[in-house]
Parts: sequence; structure tokens; C-alpha cells
Amino acid sequence: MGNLIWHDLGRFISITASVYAVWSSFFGFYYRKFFWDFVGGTLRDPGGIQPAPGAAVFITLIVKAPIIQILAMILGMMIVALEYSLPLVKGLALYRSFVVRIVLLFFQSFLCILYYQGTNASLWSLIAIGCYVRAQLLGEVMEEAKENRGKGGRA
Amino acid sequence: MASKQANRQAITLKGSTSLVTEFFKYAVNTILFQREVYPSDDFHMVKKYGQTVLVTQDVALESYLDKILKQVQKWLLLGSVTQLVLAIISKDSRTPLERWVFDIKLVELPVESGEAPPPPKPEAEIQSEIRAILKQIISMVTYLPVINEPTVFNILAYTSESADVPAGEWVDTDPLAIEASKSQQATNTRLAALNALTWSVWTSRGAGLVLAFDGGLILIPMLRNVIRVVRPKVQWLFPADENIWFHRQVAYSMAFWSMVHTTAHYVNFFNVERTQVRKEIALDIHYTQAGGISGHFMLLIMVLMYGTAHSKIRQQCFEAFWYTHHLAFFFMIGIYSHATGCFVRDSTNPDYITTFPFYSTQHCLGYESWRFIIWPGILYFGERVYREIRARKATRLSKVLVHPSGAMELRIVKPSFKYVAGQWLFIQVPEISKFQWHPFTITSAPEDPYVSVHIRQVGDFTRALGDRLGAGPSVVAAMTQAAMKGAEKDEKTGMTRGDFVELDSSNLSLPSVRIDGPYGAPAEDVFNVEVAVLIGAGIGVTPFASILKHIWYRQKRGNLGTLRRVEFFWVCRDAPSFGWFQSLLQEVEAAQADPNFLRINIYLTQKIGEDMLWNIAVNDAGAQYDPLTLLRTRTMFGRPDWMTIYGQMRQAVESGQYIAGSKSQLKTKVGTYFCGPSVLAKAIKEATVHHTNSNVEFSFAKEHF
Repeated sequence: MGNLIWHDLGRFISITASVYAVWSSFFGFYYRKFFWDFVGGTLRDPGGIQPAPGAAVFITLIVKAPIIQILAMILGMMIVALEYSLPLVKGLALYRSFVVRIVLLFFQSFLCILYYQGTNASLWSLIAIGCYVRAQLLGEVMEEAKENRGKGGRA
Repeated sequence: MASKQANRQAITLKGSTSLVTEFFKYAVNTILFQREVYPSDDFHMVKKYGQTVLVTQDVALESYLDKILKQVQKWLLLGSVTQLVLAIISKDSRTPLERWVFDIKLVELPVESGEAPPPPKPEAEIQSEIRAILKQIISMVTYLPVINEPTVFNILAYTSESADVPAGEWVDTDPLAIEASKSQQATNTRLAALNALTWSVWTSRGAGLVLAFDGGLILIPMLRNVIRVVRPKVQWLFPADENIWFHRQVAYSMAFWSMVHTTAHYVNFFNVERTQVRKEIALDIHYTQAGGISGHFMLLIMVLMYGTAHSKIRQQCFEAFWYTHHLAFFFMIGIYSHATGCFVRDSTNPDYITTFPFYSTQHCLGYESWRFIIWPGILYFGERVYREIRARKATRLSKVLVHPSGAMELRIVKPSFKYVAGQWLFIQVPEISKFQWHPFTITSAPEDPYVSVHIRQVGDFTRALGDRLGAGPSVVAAMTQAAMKGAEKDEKTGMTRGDFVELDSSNLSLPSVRIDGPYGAPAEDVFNVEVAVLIGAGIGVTPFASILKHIWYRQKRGNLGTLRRVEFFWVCRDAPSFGWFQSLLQEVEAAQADPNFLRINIYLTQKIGEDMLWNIAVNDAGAQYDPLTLLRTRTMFGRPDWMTIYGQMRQAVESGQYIAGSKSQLKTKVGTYFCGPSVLAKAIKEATVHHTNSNVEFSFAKEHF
């Protein structure tokens, strides 16, 4: 027992959120919908919600072409690669930065909230951000990755 | 003569054409009544074939049937009909729901051919055959789903091409076949609207059913008291001690199927909005209806629970795991209420009512699985309440002893607490934390008048407890330092290393404590073998304190069962952790009258520094006691070689030196009881398997204390 290491918890939540983001964006390719289309939209039967004219830019980026979804998928994969982590990322100083993670997760959260499937990924990204912010505030430091120096703990 | 076969199952009926026709009439009547194609008031009872048969009174139906039957008889006589089918069809959708098939096989040419008819079968035999078929029809009905919609029926006759068909009465038709592979889901017309959503609705329902099953299973391995009671009875069937493992597997399954279920629902609601089968938008279902809200909440709870349940987090901060896992309460509420209002229904809007369960199940076509899976939840809740009540029973902390190694021994008196050696308990100190329960191994034997636990101050809870009991880090540090220096005897305190200090409780009131338990496996099996090998690795040694004490008590009483010898191994990484356990071992070792009964083997696997090496060398030579453990037994250094140890043990047993007077025995049973990491367990198990032969049987049990 002891104290919770927030960036360890943040890592798990961030991985979950990012995998969710990748998966949701994949389904977002096939079932394209702007999450906020109900704002000022009109309901058609059949056809669903017709978004307000003001949302035209989002319709272009999400429904006409899945630009946002593609971006979210790339970003999600990047975060998973960073967190999991890919061997070639492990040695970098970038890997040990919480700020980088916070920024990436923030963008992921923003992108995911725009399309229909991404809301949970967005919310969970925010939770992961919270964990990392707390880790940063508490002055936690990410341990440097061990480079094949044998198994830890064994003299 | 013709024979009839009903329903592809091998009940057959042989008889004349008129008999067959007559039978067909009653069979059709029975089916029409049983399947409620016509209202049951239309039928009246007739005694026929020694059985009550219901026959229609509806005139139109009667004459219609008569006409058909006459034609059927004509065909039968000509031998041109091969099959008769009664098809029940949905009135609205015209889809066939059921087919009742009667095969007709011609045994001989019809009577008209002039040949002498074979002797007729006895009446009684035919009657019993008919009775059997009618009974079969009736019993079949119980396996069939209830048809809730208006239906009509058709009678189809499969005739030969040449058969002369009266125009106007019979028409050509398709076979009204039921498409075989389609399930209830596909054929149930009440689900038509939902089925328009196709694969996504089938996926979500299927995954939902798996999730309901998982939701019912997830709490079962956590029914600790139930498991403790049933454990001895079911241990042969499945490893009841691996309950946490099972809990985790169910959780993994749950995570996967939640992903499938959620993904499918995102598609479902998208299509509901697009097609407007229900007049609502996708986000309404997601965020304003019971199913959507509870679903999203459960997902969030799962992220938090799974995240904090990772072994890394659990080790860092047990509290984070412990408290977060209590979100399970809300999760279970969510799972039971997830289908409130029924997403799977045949009405546009949910049918809410004011009484429990607050929605009418009339329009509900879902599985309503909460009716089944709520029981483990209720059981678990009941168990938690029971644990609370049990924990409140009179408990008194009677003594606190501090061992020089830093371990505190709490002696607790609770008369209602019954346990056996090797079990563990939860302890709570309300003054320190009102809600936390911490698991500790019981170190006293059941014969002791108290329950004791040994606590090392390593975590925040145990440190706080040490402070509260006046055995704070400073006190313990001083004592540990003194002990580490190897001070054999300190003149000022008169304290011998290895002795414990009883804390003076006169100026310090002891806090109230509560204990919950016992849990875990009893070590009673030890007394069913001739030789018990007890192996503890590191902290895994704790349960053996109780077991060794218990053996010692039974030895004093002369009640050892078949047990003749005990080999105790303790594999330990570093010297300081010999700590408190050594004082107990000393006690047990000193009490041994028979030097051959208990043998203690201690292995120190730590890399030894030069200082320590010299220290040992200087102190060990010629000393009566081992410098590290203060036992008569010498400490061995390095890792034990299990293959050699077991090999030697087998040799000793076989040559009869090991157990006095064991030569006449057919087979010596040597039981190994291990507690510690699984890597070590594997090595030991291999050794036991390798050395088992016809004279010596080595068994291995990994204990989960």
C-alpha cells in the first residue's frame, strides 16, 4: 500500500480512451453523424435530423468526408503508441513528458466530441487529462525506461 | 391399406383408408384446438379411441373439413396422395408459422385390385396407436411457442400428377415452408420494426444476453462466506480457491462484450433516427432514456474500476482499488435497470407503470434477464450485511506486543470467532479508518484463547495503526536497530533479541477493533499424510505460523492423525524479514521433545555482502544457535534444490530410516503445502511429480491463504 501514482492510473485510462477513440472513429467512417447536429436542427421523417445551416462546416468535415474521424483515428493511434508504448518511442524524452500527453489527449477529446460515436472517448480522455494534471502538480516523474539492463529488482 | 406417419417422429399408424381419414379429421381438430386457431368455445368433447377428443361445432368449418376429408379419402383409395400437411399461417403477414406433416405410405395396392385383404389389425391395437399420436400432438404443443396473433390454417395435399383434382376446391400452392434457419428473432412479427435494423440489433441483443449472464456470474466468486462453506464439498469439482481468478475472467469477458454491445447500439440508434421507426433522435435514446443513461454510466464505472484494479495500482494504493471497486454497487443497479422500459418492445413508446418494476412487461420482448441475474446480487448484498453484523459482535483488543523486528502482534478476543489453522481475516480499526478492511493472516492456533495477527508497518494504514498503538516508527526503529546490531543482551532494557515487548496499555487506551472472517482454506489435510512438507516463501510463511502452532497443540494432545514428521522450509530473500516469525519458530523448536518430528530448514537467497559474510563466519562457529535466526537449526544460503531434496527424502523413506516403523506400510504419503510465488510452485511441483513412485506418493497443494 502507499500512495497512488497518478500517472500510472492516467496511463490506463488514457490507453482505454484512445483505443475507444480509434474504434469509434472506425465506425464513424460508416455511420457519419455530427454529434451536435440537434442544435437548431430539424427532425425529418424519415431521414433523421437535418442540421442547422450554421453547422455546414462540420457536415463537410464529418458527414461528406470523414476528415475528423480520420484525424481522431491517427491521433488515437499516436497516443496508444506513446502510452503502450512502442519500443522506438520508449527512449525519447517525449515519452516521459506529461505535458505532451495532456496536449495530445486534449486534442483527442476535442476531435472525439465532434462526431456521434466519440463522446465516451472524449469524456475518458478528459479523465485521463485530470490524472496527468494531478501527476504533474504532485511532481511525479516518469521513470526512465530500462534498456535491457536485466530484470529489475534482482541484484 | 395406407399408413400414416405423424410429425416425422417414429409413431406410425396402420389401418384402412376410412380409419386413416377419420383419424386425420380428429388430428386436424386436435391441432386446431391446441394451437388456438379457432376459439376453444367452438369445440365440444367427443369420446373417441378411448380418449376424449375435441371436435369443432362451427358449421362452416365442419362442412369445409368434411369436403376436404372426402377428397382425401378418394385420393387415398387411388393411392395418389403422398403427404398431407396442415399449415398454420399468420393471418396478417401470411407467413407460415407451423407445418404439421403427415406422410402417407402405401403398403399394398388399394382394396379394389381384387386381392384378398390381409386380416385386419385388431381394433384395440389401432386404437392405442391413434391414442399415442393424439397424445403426441398434445404434448408437442408444450414445446411450441405461444402464438399471439390471429392465425388461419391451410390443408395441403401432395398428390401424384395424375390425380384428378376437383376444380374450385383445391388450388395449387407453394409448400408454405418455414425457412429453417430463421430463429425466433427473425420470425417473430412483433420484432419486425427492430429487425429492420438488421445485424446491429441482432449483435446488440446477443452481446446483451452474454453480458447479462456475465453480470449474474461476476458476483458469485465474491460470495466469500458461501465459498468458505461449500469449499470442502466442491473442491474436487473445481478449484474453489481460485475465485478471484474466475472473477477476473468474467470481467474480461464483460469488457469485450460491452464493446460489442455498445458498438452495435451506436449503429442501432443511428438507424432508428435515420429511419424514424421510433420518432426520436439517437441522442434521446443515448442520454434521456433509462437504457442509454445506465449504459453510459456503466461504461464509465467500468473504466474506473478496471483501471484501478490493475495489479500495479492495487499494489501502490490498495485504497484506490478498494473504494473504486465499491462503484460495483451502482454498476449492478445499472445492469439490473438497463432494460427498464424495454428497448426491445413492440410499441413505439415504453409502457411505464407506477408499480414495480415500473414498466409493463406486456410490450416487452426483451430477455428480462434481470429477473435471473439479480439473485447473486441480492445474495452478495445479504452477505455484506451479514458480515457487518458479524463484525459488530463483541470484539476486544486485549494485548499489543511489539517484536524487535518491527512487527506488531495484536491479540484480539472475540468469543464468536471460530476458525481453523491457515485461515485469514479482515481487520478494521474505526479510529483510523471507518470503512477500510485490511486482510491479515491469522497467526494464532484455534486452541489459543485469542486471535492474533502479526502486522508489519509497511503501508499507510499499518503505520497509522502503529502510531495509534504507541508502537510508532521511532519506537520500532530503535528496537529494530538494536536487533540488527546483533546486541545479544542490552543491559539497560534487559531485552533479549528475539523477545517481544508488551506495550504498556495503562496510560494508553487501546482502540476498538473489528474483525471479519475467517476466510480461506483450512489446512486440516496436513493430518491425513505421514509426512507434511510445509514450504513458505517470503511473506507466504505467515499462514504456517498458525499451522505449526496448531500441529504443536495437537502433538501435545497426542492427536496427530497419521502425521509422523513435519519438514518446514522457509525460503527468504533477506535477513531482516526473519523478524517476528523467528520468535514463534524458536518457541515451537524449543518445545519439541522429539527432535525428529519437526525439522526446520531456512534458506536465505540474498546475495551476501562481505561484512555480513564475516559476521556470520565469526558468530556461527561453535555457537549453539544460528546467528541469524537464533534457532538451533542452521540457516542455509542460496536457493534450495528441490529435486535433490525430494530425491533424498524418497531415499530416506524407502530405506526405512525416515519414519520409524514405517516398513510395513504399503505406501507413504508425503504432502507438500506451499504458499508463495507461482514460479517456485512450478519447480516444486515438478520435483514432487518426478519423485513419486510406488512406495512414496508425493502430493502438491498450492495454498491460497
